[in-house]
Amino acid sequence: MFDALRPHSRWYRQVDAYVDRELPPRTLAHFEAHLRGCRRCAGEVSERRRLKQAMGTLPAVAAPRSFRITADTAMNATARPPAAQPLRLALRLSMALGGLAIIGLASTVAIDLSGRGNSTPAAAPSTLQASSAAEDARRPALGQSAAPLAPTSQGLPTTRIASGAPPPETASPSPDSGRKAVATDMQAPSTGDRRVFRLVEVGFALIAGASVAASVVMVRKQRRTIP
Amino acid sequence: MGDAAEPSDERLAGEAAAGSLAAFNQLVDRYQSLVFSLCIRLLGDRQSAEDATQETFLSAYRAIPKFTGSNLRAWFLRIAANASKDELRRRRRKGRAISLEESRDPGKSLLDPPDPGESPDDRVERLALAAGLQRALDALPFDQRQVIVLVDVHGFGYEEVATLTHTSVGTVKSRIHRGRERLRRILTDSGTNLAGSAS
Repeated sequence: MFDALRPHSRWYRQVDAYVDRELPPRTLAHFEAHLRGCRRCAGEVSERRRLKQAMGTLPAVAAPRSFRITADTAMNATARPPAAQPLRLALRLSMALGGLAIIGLASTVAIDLSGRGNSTPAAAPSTLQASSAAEDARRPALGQSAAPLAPTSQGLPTTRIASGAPPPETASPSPDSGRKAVATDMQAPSTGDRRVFRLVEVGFALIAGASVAASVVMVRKQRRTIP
Repeated sequence: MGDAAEPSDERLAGEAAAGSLAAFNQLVDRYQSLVFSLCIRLLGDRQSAEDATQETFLSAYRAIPKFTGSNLRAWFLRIAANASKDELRRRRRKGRAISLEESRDPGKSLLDPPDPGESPDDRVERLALAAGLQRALDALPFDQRQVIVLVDVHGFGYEEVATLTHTSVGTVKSRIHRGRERLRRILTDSGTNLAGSAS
C-alpha cells in the first residue's frame, strides 16, 4: 500500500547528497536507477543543481581592510585571552564545587548507612533492655540508690539512666513511663536524623549535578572558543 | 621567480608558532579575504563580518602554537565559523539590527566585484540574484546557513564540513537537505528567479 510513497520518501532525502556527489557508490547506482524511472526525483535533482549553481555564483568578497595584527594587539592578545581566562577560572571553581559536593554526598550517605547499620541490631535487644531499664528507673523512685544499678546498664542505650540522677520522666510512678522514655530516646533522633540526612543528601546531589552540568557546558564553550 | 620565493603555509605557521608576528601577518594577508567572505555570508552585514574576521585572526594568533594540523585553510575557516556564531549571538544579545541596506541596493552591494566583460543588464541581473540569495541565506537558521555556505560557496565536502562544525556527516546531510528546501521556498516566495544562473 505504501510502496507508491516509499520511493520518494526514501530517495528524496538523497537528492542533495547526489547533487553534491556525496553518495557512496552502491547507493549512487540505486539512486540513478530510480532516477531513470522517476520524473519527480529527476525534477528535484535539476532544481537542486540550479540552486547549487546559483550559490556558486555568489562572488568572493575581498577584505575591505587589512586584518593584520599589530604588535600591541598581539601583546594584548597573548596577555589577556578574552573570555578564556574567566571561563577557565569559572570552570575550575565549578569543578571544585562539584568535587566537594560529591565528597559531601558520599560522606553523608556513608554516615547515614553506618548509622542505620548500628541502629538495626540495637533495635532487637531494645525491647528487653527497655523493660529492665524501666525497672531500674523505678527503683530510685522507690528510694533505692542509683549507684548499684550502674553496672547493669553499661554499654546500653540507657546510659543516661545510669548516670546517677534519674531523668524527669522516671520520676513518674507509672510503670510504662520508663519504657516509653527509653523507646523514644532510641527512635526519635534516628527519624529526625534521617530527615536531615535526606535533606543534606538531596542538597549535595543537586549541587553536584548543577556543577557537573555547568562544567560540561563550560568545557564545550572553551573547546569552541579555543580552536 | 617571485612565486618560488613565497613561503609555504606550513613554514609560516611554524614560524608564527615560534613567535614571529610577521609570519603570522603573511598568513593573515593570504586568508583574510576567504575568512571575510565566509563571515559576511554567515552574518549578512559588513560591520559584524569585520568584527568576526578580526576576532578570527586574534583567536588564531593565540592558538597557533597549538596548531598541529596540515590544513590551515580549513583551520581558519573553522575559527571563522565559530567567531561568526559568537558574533551573531552577541548581536542578538545587543539587539543590533541586521543591516541589509547594502544587499538591498545592488548598486551599493559589497558583494559585487565588477566583471569587465559583463554588460550592464547582466550585471544588474547578477547582482539582483546575489542580493536575493544573500537575503534568503540570512533567513536560514545559522546551522543550515553555515553548511550551505561551506559546501556551495567554499566547495567543502560533507566530511570536511562535519569536521569544521564538530558534527557528524549525517547531521551535515540533513542540514543541507533542510536548508536547501527552505532556501528554495524563500526564493520562490520572494520571486527570485534562478533560471539565469543555470546558463
